[in-house]
This record gives sequence, structure tokens and C-alpha cells, in this order.
Amino acid sequence: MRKQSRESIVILFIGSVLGLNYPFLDLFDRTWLPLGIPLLYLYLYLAWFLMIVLLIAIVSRSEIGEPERSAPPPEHKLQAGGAERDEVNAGDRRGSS
Amino acid sequence: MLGDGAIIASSLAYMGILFGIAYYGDHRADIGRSIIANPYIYTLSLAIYCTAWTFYGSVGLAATSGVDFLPVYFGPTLMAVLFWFVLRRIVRITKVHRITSIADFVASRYGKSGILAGMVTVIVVLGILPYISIQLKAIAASFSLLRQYPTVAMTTAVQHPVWADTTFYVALVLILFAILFGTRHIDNTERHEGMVAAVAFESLFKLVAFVTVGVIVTFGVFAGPGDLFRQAAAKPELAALMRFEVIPGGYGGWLSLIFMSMMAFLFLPRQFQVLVVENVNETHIRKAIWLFPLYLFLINLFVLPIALGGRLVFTNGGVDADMFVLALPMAEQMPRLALLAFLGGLSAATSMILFETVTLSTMVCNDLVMPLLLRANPRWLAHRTDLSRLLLGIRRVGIAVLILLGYLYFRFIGESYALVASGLVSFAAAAQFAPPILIGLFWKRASRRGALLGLSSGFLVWAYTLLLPAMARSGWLAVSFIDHGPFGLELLRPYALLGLEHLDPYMHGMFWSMLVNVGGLVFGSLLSQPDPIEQVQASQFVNVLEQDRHDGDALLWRGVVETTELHDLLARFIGPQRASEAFDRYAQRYGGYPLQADSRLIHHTERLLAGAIGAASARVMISSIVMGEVLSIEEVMTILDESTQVIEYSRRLEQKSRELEGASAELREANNRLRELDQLKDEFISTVTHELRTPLTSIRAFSEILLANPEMEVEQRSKFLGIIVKESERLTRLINQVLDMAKIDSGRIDWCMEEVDLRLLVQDAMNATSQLLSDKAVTLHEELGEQSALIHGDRDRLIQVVINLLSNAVKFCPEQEGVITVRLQFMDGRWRLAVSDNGPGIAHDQHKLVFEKFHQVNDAQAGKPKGTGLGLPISQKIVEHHDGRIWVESEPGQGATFIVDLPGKLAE
Repeated sequence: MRKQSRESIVILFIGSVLGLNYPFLDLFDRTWLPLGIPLLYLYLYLAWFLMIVLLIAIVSRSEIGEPERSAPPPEHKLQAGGAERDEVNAGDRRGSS
Repeated sequence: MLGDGAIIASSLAYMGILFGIAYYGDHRADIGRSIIANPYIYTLSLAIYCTAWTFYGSVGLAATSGVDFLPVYFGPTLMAVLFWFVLRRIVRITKVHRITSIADFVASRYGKSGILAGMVTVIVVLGILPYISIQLKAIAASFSLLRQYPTVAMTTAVQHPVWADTTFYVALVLILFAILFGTRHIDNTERHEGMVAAVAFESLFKLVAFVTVGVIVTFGVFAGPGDLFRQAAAKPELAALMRFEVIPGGYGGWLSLIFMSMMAFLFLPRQFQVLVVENVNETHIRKAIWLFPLYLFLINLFVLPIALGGRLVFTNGGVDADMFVLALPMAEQMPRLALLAFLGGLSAATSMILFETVTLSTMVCNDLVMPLLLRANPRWLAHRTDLSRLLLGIRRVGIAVLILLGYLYFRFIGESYALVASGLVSFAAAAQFAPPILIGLFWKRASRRGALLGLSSGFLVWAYTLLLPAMARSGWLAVSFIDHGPFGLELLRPYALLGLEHLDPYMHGMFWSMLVNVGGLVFGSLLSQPDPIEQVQASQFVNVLEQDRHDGDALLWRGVVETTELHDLLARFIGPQRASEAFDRYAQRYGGYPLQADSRLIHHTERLLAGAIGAASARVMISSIVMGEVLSIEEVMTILDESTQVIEYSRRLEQKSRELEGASAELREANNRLRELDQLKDEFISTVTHELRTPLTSIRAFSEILLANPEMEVEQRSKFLGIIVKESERLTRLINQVLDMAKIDSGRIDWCMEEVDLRLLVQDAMNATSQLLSDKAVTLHEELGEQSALIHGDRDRLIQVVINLLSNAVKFCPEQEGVITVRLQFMDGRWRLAVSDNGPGIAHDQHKLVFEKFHQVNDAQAGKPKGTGLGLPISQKIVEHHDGRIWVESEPGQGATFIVDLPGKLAE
């Protein structure tokens, strides 16, 4: 993963922890029903959804910059069940690239 | 229409489908065409996190405490954000070291410690039993509710005898399933493809079931979420659920729940199994990073509508809020939807029980029973040739015992407790593994003694602050234990230890247990001296992404043992056939194996064995046939670090050499340029000396003639003197030009800028050169126009340019037939002066070079250069100083046109 993506991930994590806790939550703790939905519910679900959207953005952007790499070291692959495992990995790479 | 028969039949049909999927998954794995090797199945298998607790418990909690259920899902979402940093590391380590469970992981990190593995196993079993029991409870409760359809009423605890209790039979079916697909054979990878496939299916099924119920309740029973929430908001007791005050733990409890679920998501045994051990390919994590949070989001989307809808429909409180998901479709007379909800809950519960018990039984077998057997009766074991059946037997018994224990817990303790509460106790237990694992991943110094100290004290505090109070609430201990402390010691009240009051029980328990856990780990590590195997393992775990060799622990073995001994040892645990296969693969890879096993083969065998019986037991077994240590710890560490350093060095070397290449290319270019200049300078000097010598020679010759012939005629003498004067002028001009060039180059020239009429200036220049022209009989055409051409410039210098161009043109014009054209034009705010001749022209490659200092166009006809080679460079400098441009347009044989382009304006 590129350095930029790593930074975005750390920023997203810190931002999410802040956004999902006191005192941010206190801001949305109101008896108000925009569109008939309690504000607190609306905020929590929207914030959650936004997190997921940002995650998609970060992950898909880093995928462009980095080629898929076969993760397990070669020695392991062999131990883990020889030919069958290798074929699995190869098939998977085809599928996801 | 929904009788016991229909419910049981559909449950059995559902289990049948699961059997089919699991069987198909295993079959595909056996023939090498895995169906689980893609990121979507991986993500769905992670959703085993959502148990009956999610399916029923979230709604139950939301119906009494509003959004209090959400932190349990925010935690994993936050952990997913960190997957790439944390999970990838753990997965890599697990694959490299053949780790099969969380106990194995902790033990391996801290020097393959058997004690640590056993301790983790004990914590897990004690911590997870309540969790298993609530799954059974959910199945029992949902069944007893559904069988009374169409009446919706909670049965008051009528205790059936065990043989008439459906839950008992559910437990038996689960035992059968877990044994069939969880303990098929002793595998050296400990992966269960069939079960993962079944779990993925169950995850999909429970999501569809829950969302279907949610959509129908929200849009069928009520007119959309707006209508539902407005109705709820009209009732004060429900309106309170939309605010934060209703959450028992407050903001502190909220935060601690997020933290607890973050840790539990990684370190609950079944989570560790699906996240890490069953991971087929590291790159699947990438997709799971966002796909899994999306799953959690979807399955939680309708929790609040169902909870509030349930409160609105069941106003009298006769129905347990935990069962709203099932009770609402029943109350609305939708039997098929109710059945779907029931099966969804069943799938959530069964997937958790299956995986949890298989994982736990493997841990109990590898990390508790086997080490005890090895220790207690090694001789008895030594006589048995095939231990793989024994291992399988232990695991099968383990599964049965665990599920039955969960059932007993549910029958005798769990009844009185809500789903969520028991689940959270288990979460807190799993969170105890966070310090030894996470700190151990990044801090090399963390040692076995520290981990033992931290883990045991964290576990004791957990048991005291969370487990014992839960038992007290169930009536197994006096309630006064919670209110007044043991033996009336107020300071030791489990919910307010040392007088720390006003905290939510979970936050309180987490705070104390984490404090002693992290504290114990840090202090224990700082105070103890780690032994070699600990140091090696610590280094290998922390540097797993950097180091490229992972056999440091094997380098500690002395390499003298017969290969057949190793083979026999392996065969006893995983069966002769699998052992031979493994050795054949080794031979294929390394071209045979030696009779005396080397450290690589020992390492290979140890890892294979570790896959079957855990790292700690494997080390004990290997050490029983391989004795002693061959390398010192320093040597091993050096070998491990070397590879890291070599990579780093070569990376730096490459960078340096790239830099060097760049620098040397620049140097080469500069050197070439210098050489060229040097050559030009030599040529110039020879030209200049030649040019200087010509006038000097004639001056000297004529002077000598005059000196030798005093009686020379006056006419003759004045002619000679005229030549001498002319030659001296030429000499002066040459020297002046050299000086000019030097001045302009060094910037010491004074520019006298003013408004100048270029037209007049050109005419002056032509007048000045008229003699030159007539000497060679050159015809001059002038096309200067009528208007005065105003520019801002230095008059004298510009005249110098024009004279230079004219004299150049004259120089190259043929005698008698020379034609020079001087043209002045105004275009786009600039004046353009063109001086054309009809001389031999200039080749294209020389167009730029003529403006270089000392450069002279070789004139093949004349044989020697004419001029100094400084006129054009000086002209260019002057023109450029006026923000102008000078260039030449020429075709060889067709004359040359020198063009000067200067900014200016038309006269008014």
C-alpha cells in the first residue's frame, strides 16, 4: 500500500473515532426528526455509511497504484498442500485482477 | 398451519442444505478446486461475527436502550480500517509459522511457551461458554415462541426434562455436524473449507432474513420509517429511546464498548479462525476492508425500526424484546415470514456454535490435553505408532463436551440473563488477548514472563469484575456480593473496585483488567531476561514483513538426527500417508533429502507438526529426538538481521549507483562541452594571431621599405603610408572587437538606452560601409519604407550590429556581381530588419553555430576564414540585450539572409 493511502487510513481512523464519540455525539443528541427520522439515528448511520464510502475510495485508489502481489512466501505455498494450493491462488488472481 | 412438525422439518431441511454445502466445499477442496478462495466468501465468513446476539439481541437492546447496540458494530468497522496494518501482519505470521489458533499464536510469539498456550485456552473456554449458551438459548426461545403460532406469548419457564427439550436435540445435531466437518482428518493446515462455505451461506441467509423482516415491518406494517418513528416519538417512553441519556453506560460505556468489540472482533477464537487461519490469500483482506463494514451496516439498518415497531405493537410488554424479530411477523399473521426469521436466527446461532466449538476443541486438544499427555506419560505415547486417531478422538470428544457444557450453562445459569449481557462478558474475555498479541507484534522486548503476568492478572480481574457478578445475578452467588463486596468489604465491590464508582460495569471491568494486563506485560518484560528461543521468535514476529527468512527458530537445533526418525515422528501424528506426501514434496522442492537431517529439514518437519498439534507441543516433540542447540542466540539473530540488512544495503546501493550514473552523465556532457570550447579557443587564437599577423606583416614590410629607401618618391611613399595606416586601423578594429566581446561577456558594458529611429540608423550604417561596397562593386537595394521606425535602444551598439551584418554580407558576396538587399518591415509590434546577400549561403547545420564565439564558416572557395568570428556573437549579444532576436535563413548556394527582430512601434 502506498504511503499516501497509509496516511489516509490513519486519518480516517482518527476521524472516525472522534466522530463516533463524545462530544460529537452530543451535538446530534436532539429531539428533532428530520424526514421523520430521529437526528441521532440519522447521524450515526450516515457517519457509518460515509466511513464505508471513504474506505472504498482509499482501497480502490491504492489498488491502482499497486500491483497484486502473491502474499505467502514460496516455501510456505509448497508446504501448505502443494499443487492444489498453488492452483487456488492462481485462480484467485485471475478472478480478482 | 405452523406446527412442531413443520418447524422441525424446515429446520432439518435447512441443516440438510448446510450439510450439502459443507460436503461440496470439502469435496472441491480435495480435488483442488476451492470454492472459498475469493474475497466475497472470505468477507461473508467474517460475518460469523453476527450471531444470534445480532439477530435477536440487538433488537432487544435497542428496544430498551436505543442506540446502545451500535458500538458493537462500530468496533469491527474501525478495526477493518486498520486491517492493512494489523491483520495483514498477523496473517503473514500465521502462514509463515503454520499457526492454527489464537492460543498457538500467543504461545509462538513468546518462545513457543506451552504454559501460555494452556492459559489462553483456559481463558477462552471459560470466557466463551456463556456465549455458546446464549446461542442455544436463542434457538430454544425462538422455537418455543414460534410453535405457539398464531398466539404470541412467551412461555413462562416450564422446564422440560432434557429428553423432551428440543434444544437438546439441536445441540446433538450440531455436535454431529461439527464432528463431521470440523474433524475430518488431522490436517497440517487446520483449515476447514467445507465449514467456511457453510458459514458463508449462513451469513448470506441471515442477512436476507433479517433485512426481509425489517423491510416488511417498516413498509408493510408501518408506512415507512418516517411514519414509524413519528408514532414512536409521540409516546414519551419511546421518544426517550431516540436520545443518548437512555444508554446505561453513558459516553464512557459507549467508548469502552467500541474498544471491546474492536478487540473481540480480532481475538474471539472463531474470529481468529476465519480471519486468519482460514484466509486463503492475503489480498482478500483488501476487499474485506470495506465489504465487511458494508455487511454490518446492512444487517443493522432495520434494527431500530423493528425495535420501535415491536414496542408500538406489543404495548402490554408481554413479549420479550429479544424476540421481536420473530414476534412481529407472527403478530401480523405472516407465518412464512416468521419461519424465515426463525431460520435466520437458527443460521446465526448454528454458524457461531459450529466454528467456535471446532476451534476451541482444537485448542483444547493441542494446548491442554496433548501437552499433559506428553508430560504425564511419554512412554505410553512413544509406543503408539499412529497418534492421529488419538488426536481426532480428543477433538471429537472436545466438541461434544463443549456443546453440552454450553447446553448445561444455558439450562442452569444462562436462563436469567439477557443475550447481550452474556455476550459482552465473553467480549471482555477475548479483549484480554489484545495486549500480548498487539504489543507483541510491534514491541520486540515483550517477553514470555510479561505475557504470563499480564494475561493471568487481566484474566483474574475480568473474572472478578465481570464473570462473578454475572453468576451472582443468576443466583449462583449471593447478590450481596455485588452490592457490598465479598465478606462485606466495600472496597472490593466487583462493580466499584477500590471505590471506583459511577462507571458502567463493562467500562469498569475493561479499565481494571486492561490496566493490570498491559502493566503486567510491560513490567514483566522489562524485568525479565528472555531466553534464546523467545528472542528469535520475537524478532521473527516483529519483522515478519521485512525479513525474508523465517527459520530462525530452527537454526537453534543441532543438525544431527536421522531423517527417518523425523519421518516417523511426523507419521505418528498426521498418519504415514500424509507424512510421506509431505516429505516427497520437500524432496521435489530441494532435490531429495539428506540421511542426516539438516536444520532446514528439521524446521520443515517442525512446522508441519506445529500445524497438527500446535507450536509448543511440536517443539517438545522435536526436542525429544533432536538435542541441544547448535548456534548461539547472537549468531541466529545475526543471520536473521543479515538478510534484512542485505536487502536494505542493496536497495541503498542501487539508489546510489543510479545517482552516480546521473552525475557521471552530466559530467561527461560538461566535459564534452569544455573540450569543444577548448578547441574553439585554439582555433580562435590561431585565427586571431593569423589576423593580427597579416596587417602586422604588411605594416612591417612597408615600413622597412620606407626605411631602406629614403629617397623614395613622395607619391609612392604616401601610397605606402596609406597602406600602413589602413592596416593599423584593421588591427585596431580587431583588438576592439575582442575587447568588446570580453566586456559584454563580463557585463561591464554601459548601455546608453534612448529612443532611436532604426531607419535612420540603418541609413547611417549604409553610409559608413559605402566605401566597402563600392570597393567590391556590390549593388545595394534598400527597402526601408517611408516611416521612421522607433525603437528603444543604444544607438552606437545597434549601428555596430548593422555594420557588422553589412560587412559580413559584403564579405561573402561575389566580386562585381554582388547584390545586397536591406529590408525593414513592421509586423506585430516589432521591427524586422533583413540583410540578404547572394553569396554561397550557409548549410543548415551551421545556422546556429555561426552565432557561437570564434566559430567561422569554412569557405571552401576562399580556403581561409574571413573575419574574426566575433562579429555575429557580439551582434547577438547586443540584440538580445534589446529583447530582440537574430537568426539566419539560408539555403546553400542561394545566399543568406540575416534577420534582426526588435520590439518597437510605428511613428505617430
